[in-house]
Amino acid sequence: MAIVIIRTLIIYTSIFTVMRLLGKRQLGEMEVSEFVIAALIADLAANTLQDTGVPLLNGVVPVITLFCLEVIVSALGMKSIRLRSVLFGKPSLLIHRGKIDQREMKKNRFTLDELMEQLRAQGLNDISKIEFAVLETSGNLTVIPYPEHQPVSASLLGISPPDKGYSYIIINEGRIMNENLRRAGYDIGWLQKKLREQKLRSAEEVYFMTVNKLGEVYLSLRGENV
Amino acid sequence: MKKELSAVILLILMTAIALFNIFHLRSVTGELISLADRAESSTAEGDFASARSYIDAAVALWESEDYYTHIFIAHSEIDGTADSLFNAAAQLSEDKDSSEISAAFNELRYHLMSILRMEEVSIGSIF
Repeated sequence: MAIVIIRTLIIYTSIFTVMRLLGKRQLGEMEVSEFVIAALIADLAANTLQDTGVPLLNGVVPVITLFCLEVIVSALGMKSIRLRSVLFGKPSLLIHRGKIDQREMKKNRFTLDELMEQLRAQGLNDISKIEFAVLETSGNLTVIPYPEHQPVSASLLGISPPDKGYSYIIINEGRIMNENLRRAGYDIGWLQKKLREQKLRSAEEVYFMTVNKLGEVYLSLRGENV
Repeated sequence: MKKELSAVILLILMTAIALFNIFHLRSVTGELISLADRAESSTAEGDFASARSYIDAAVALWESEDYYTHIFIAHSEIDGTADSLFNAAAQLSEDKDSSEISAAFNELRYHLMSILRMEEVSIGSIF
């Protein structure tokens, strides 16, 4: 029993470290090689965890080897465009100026249902309004509508709204995020003043608080429910 | 670039450890097979005292490698080899039939060769 726990801890730490080193992309949009690695790592870990008769090294060594290979393959892909397209594939233009490219659809084994599903997910269901739809190597569909169907932007309207900048979280479940407070250009004195204005005695009474470049504050109190 | 270089170094390092492992395992199994051969020939000559000392040396060597074997070798293989080693030791008595002794030593040699074959790089061990 203890052995299983220790083995689980070691495998978990190894996989966690490897996934962390592979970067955030691994957790979201995966390239083919990344998907292969994720699937293999999961299987390797499960086998080693279940069978205590298998040396732990037999689980850890392949995980490390896969990590090394992934890093090397990614680096090679960065160096050569040709190799990158071989390793990770190329984006495919599924819709070109409002017309579906059936050859590309077939090549990517992408059905009309899947195409319509992805378009609906992006709030579009009329193909004639779409100028381009690109199937990315990650499997995501990027849709670019014709200019007249694109969402209205401030520049199109000819207005220049104030730049509110990034909203920094300065209180997170009662804890003051000093680094964020400094980055936002404020100090603890300013925060205490803001809290007093809201008739609050300490940051502990606050569940969530943000501030932007213009000094606009969003505040949610602890225990506050909708 | 640091990460890529570390990955290459790590791969080289692991390959070096794997090669060292094969080298070490070859040396240990070679020594054990040699002791088993000597124990078997001493038995054939009726020199059971020498045979016993050879097999005791083999058991001592096997036990001294306990940590190494448990880290690098599948535990079912370790158990199989240990069982055949102790079985060979148990067969070393004058009232045993020579064919039984020979079978026990053949089994021991088979297990020792098997753990080496599992680690050595060959078409068979890969597939």
